Amino acid sequence: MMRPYLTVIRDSFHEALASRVLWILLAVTTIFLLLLLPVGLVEQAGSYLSEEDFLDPDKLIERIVAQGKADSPSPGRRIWELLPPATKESAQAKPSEPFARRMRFNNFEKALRELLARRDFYNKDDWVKDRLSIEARALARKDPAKLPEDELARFNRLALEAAYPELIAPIPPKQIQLAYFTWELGIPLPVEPEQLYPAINQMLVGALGMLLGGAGVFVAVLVTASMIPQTFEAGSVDLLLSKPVYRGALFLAKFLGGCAFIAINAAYFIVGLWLILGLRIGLWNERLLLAIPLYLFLFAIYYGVSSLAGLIWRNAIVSVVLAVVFWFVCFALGTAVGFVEQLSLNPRRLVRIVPAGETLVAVDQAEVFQWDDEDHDWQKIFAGRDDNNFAFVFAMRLVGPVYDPVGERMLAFRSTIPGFSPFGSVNRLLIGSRADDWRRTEGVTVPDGAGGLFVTRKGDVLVAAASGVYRLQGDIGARQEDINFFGVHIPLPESRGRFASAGPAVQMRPLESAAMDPETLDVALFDGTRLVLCSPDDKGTYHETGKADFERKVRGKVTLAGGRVYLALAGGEVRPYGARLKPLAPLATDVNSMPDAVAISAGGKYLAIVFKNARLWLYDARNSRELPLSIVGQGDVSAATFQGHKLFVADRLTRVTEYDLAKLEVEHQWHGALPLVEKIYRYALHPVYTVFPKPGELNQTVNHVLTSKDTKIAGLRLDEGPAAPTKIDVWGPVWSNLAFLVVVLAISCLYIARKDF
Amino acid sequence: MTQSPAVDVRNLSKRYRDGIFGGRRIDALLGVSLSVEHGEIFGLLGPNGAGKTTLIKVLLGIVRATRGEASLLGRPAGSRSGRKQVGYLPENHRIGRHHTGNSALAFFGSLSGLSGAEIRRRRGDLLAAVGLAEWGRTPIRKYSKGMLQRLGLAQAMLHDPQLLILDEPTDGVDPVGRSEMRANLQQLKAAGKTVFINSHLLQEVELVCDRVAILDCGKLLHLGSIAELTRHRSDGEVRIVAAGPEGAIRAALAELNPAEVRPVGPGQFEMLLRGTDQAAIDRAIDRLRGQSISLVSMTRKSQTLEEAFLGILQQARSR
Repeated sequence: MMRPYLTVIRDSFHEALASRVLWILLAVTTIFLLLLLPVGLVEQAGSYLSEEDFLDPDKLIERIVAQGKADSPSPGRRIWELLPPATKESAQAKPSEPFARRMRFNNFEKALRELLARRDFYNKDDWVKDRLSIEARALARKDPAKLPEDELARFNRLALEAAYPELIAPIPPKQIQLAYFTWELGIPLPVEPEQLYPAINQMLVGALGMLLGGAGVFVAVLVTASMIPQTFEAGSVDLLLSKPVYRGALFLAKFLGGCAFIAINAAYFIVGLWLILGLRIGLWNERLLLAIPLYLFLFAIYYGVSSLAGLIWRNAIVSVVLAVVFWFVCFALGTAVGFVEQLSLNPRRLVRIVPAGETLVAVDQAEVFQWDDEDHDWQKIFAGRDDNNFAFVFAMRLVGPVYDPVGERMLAFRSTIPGFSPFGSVNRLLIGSRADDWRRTEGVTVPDGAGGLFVTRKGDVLVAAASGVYRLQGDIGARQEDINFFGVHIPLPESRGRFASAGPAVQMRPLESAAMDPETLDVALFDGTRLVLCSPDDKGTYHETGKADFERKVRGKVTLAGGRVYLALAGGEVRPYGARLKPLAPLATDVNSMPDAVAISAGGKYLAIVFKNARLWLYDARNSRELPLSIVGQGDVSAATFQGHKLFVADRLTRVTEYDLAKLEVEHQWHGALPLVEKIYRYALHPVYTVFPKPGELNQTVNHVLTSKDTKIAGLRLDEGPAAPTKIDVWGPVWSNLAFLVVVLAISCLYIARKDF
Repeated sequence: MTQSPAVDVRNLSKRYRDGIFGGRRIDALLGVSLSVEHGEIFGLLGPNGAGKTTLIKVLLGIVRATRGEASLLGRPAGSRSGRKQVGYLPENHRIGRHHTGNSALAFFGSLSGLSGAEIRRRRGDLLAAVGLAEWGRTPIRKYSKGMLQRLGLAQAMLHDPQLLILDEPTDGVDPVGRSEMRANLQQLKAAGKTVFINSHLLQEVELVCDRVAILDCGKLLHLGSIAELTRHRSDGEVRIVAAGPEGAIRAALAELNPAEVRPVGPGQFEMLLRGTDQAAIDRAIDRLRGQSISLVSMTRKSQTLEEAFLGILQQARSR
């Protein structure tokens, strides 16, 4: 039954062997492996003096200078004798500038490292013999002048650390040196070989991605491209189809023949690499062998496209060209989707909804809008003179705006990195009054490290910062105009209004998140390692009333109301806390993502969490269950907020839906006009991207297979710090690409079954 | 139970669609019906583009018929079970250049379901039968066109099929090879195999085939034995060579009005009689002999297959 098809597969090898392609590929692979063979890790006696070994460089230099100038024998005097004059000169200088100090250290470090190779470095009269370690004393007994070079280097290094035990870190017994033949590459590393293996595996992933995932697959497609067209060309196909074989099976056998041919090459390369790593470096990572089927699978995807083209046009050149075009389209689609999302769509996505009295206000990453009933679209408000500067230079997210119902105004400020003030600028409160058509003006200076802005029902303005809670005192808009010096605004001190500390005396890391309970005015501060609850006394002074510490830094968002504090963490876990931050049973959201925003309704009845994967999770705290509300645009949600028994949810960039939580139904919807880019993205680009395979994502799978990692760092945002590692879908690309491959092969089989040859 | 024909074709039509969106239609076969009996050597004749190869491809399932029915050895045309019993030598066939004669037979034999041992057992004799006994280990890229054709025949015969379909089998084969191929075909016929030949070389067909079909522009123009075909088109031309006085000869044949009387040797004359019935010829012979004229030879000339073929084509196209 299978004999004819196995014969076809075998014939592919026969063909490849006869055409010498297999031999050429194997020869190239052999040469590459032979070139890699001399790479190895050499284990040496630890002797290298690295920059990190200098525990206090300035103090060490000063100590050696002082000892060198003294008359009494000391290691410092010996070192000083041996140092070159230029190093001595720079060592004696006492620069205050960091750069000059750095240069002095660099000179000194280099000179000292050279001294450690000298046979006359150690002078027993200058060393107090008792301080030498047992190992150093043993080496000293051998006479340093006669020691082999590696033992001499270790001895000198031991002598140095014996002389300055508090300033020079002890050297481990062994160090690892990367070598090629006898040439040493780079600097020795004071680690065990096993400690290098994760890094080597990571490098392997990158190298395999380029060698096999890129060039390898291209070459493989190139050399196999003629197999299918030749098989199905006139004269050849007639002969084959006259035999009692199934057409589809014949095609699949030929396809597998091409794959098997490449499998031999890939296996030879990977097994060779595995042996070299094992024999030369001691890294026996059998998971590396799993790269063979994975890269073979990657090849099969491109070869599937090449084969279908070869079947239809029966021309090897067309096959190769279409496989390359397919690769380019995959790449271009992924890039285009990424670019459009990052540069055009995400900046327009509403990230905050602010019901401001009768006005519905929404905020994207850079601008504030209000809904215009006449135009049925969002209208930009809260504009000021420096709009372009902000948008162009830093594009910092707004903290806020929050609506002050007493003053009928909106308040906000730009989030900044604490201590980072470009050109000496200060962060100011931004104010827009309804009476002034929401035009934005600048007000008082916001405290450094501010991470939350709140307005109480009485109109008090509070700011949460890493150093505690601040309350606005005086005139909110009071400020003197900056001096404009050649375009640079030089701020002047506040005159009448300012944010004054309202306690407590805490010093936290830059805030991850902060929230205020509008009923109790309690404020929760979260910096990734600590959650602090602050409550005001009768005089409005805040005191720390609860604290929860975390063993390691975590990413999350905090909110509080109704006597409960909720901390939503990366990965979808929600930790509720009771009075004084007493931990309660955690909630599971079944959303495996990073929380982007949290909102809580008055009294803490409902909790809403918007995750970075654009899913909204709603929780009914009174009934301790998820809220059974069908969300319009679930999976594309970017913001949510409560107002009374209403929930406002933003999705599809600029659409806001109002829900009545009592009836659990949609009450109203505001839907701004879709820009052209969004239309193209939504109706063309994204659907095509969704159904198209994503071969490039297979690198994630290879990474996981080789290193067991299943997370990635999504990127860095200036205003949010490093993103939390997000869990990647390791096997997702395999399934989606497999589905594509199956579809391509099915189309090919269908085509050949229906085709008149 | 009556045995079904080796090849049975009923009202077979095939329309190809060509061009963008299949706008151009080409009728390769138009209601062709024919049957080939077991043990017969059957020739399919026709000019280029007549639909001969299409008919074969339909029989083998390489091309699907638009209308009509066809069967091979009692099984639907194109079925796997039917193809198991068929050996096919395509026109201008291509065998992978990486093969030797032996490996090519191993490859095609395996595709036909033969085991390695069976292939090894059969291929020696087979290569010898087609004149390639010494060439089994030679890469076929060194083969001449004729040798490739012989190898093609060998692969078609390898699995001992009941029916052989040969498309231009003597194409590129030298006269010696043709003679050997004819011998092979006769042996196959003797062994009870059915052979279906598609060829331009009418002399070859005439020499080996029992029956022929003539196709033109997808239509079947004629179906019958070689003898019927040549007799059917003969106009009874008789050639007489007689020795004697020219005047006496002319006088004796005055009734027949010979087309031409011309000398062919000393005292010998040749006469060509057309459309003459047998009774008139008998009387003329009697008169010649009555005047002591010697009859050197007398032959009734029949048409060659080629003449018959061209005549049928001309007749069909003039309608």
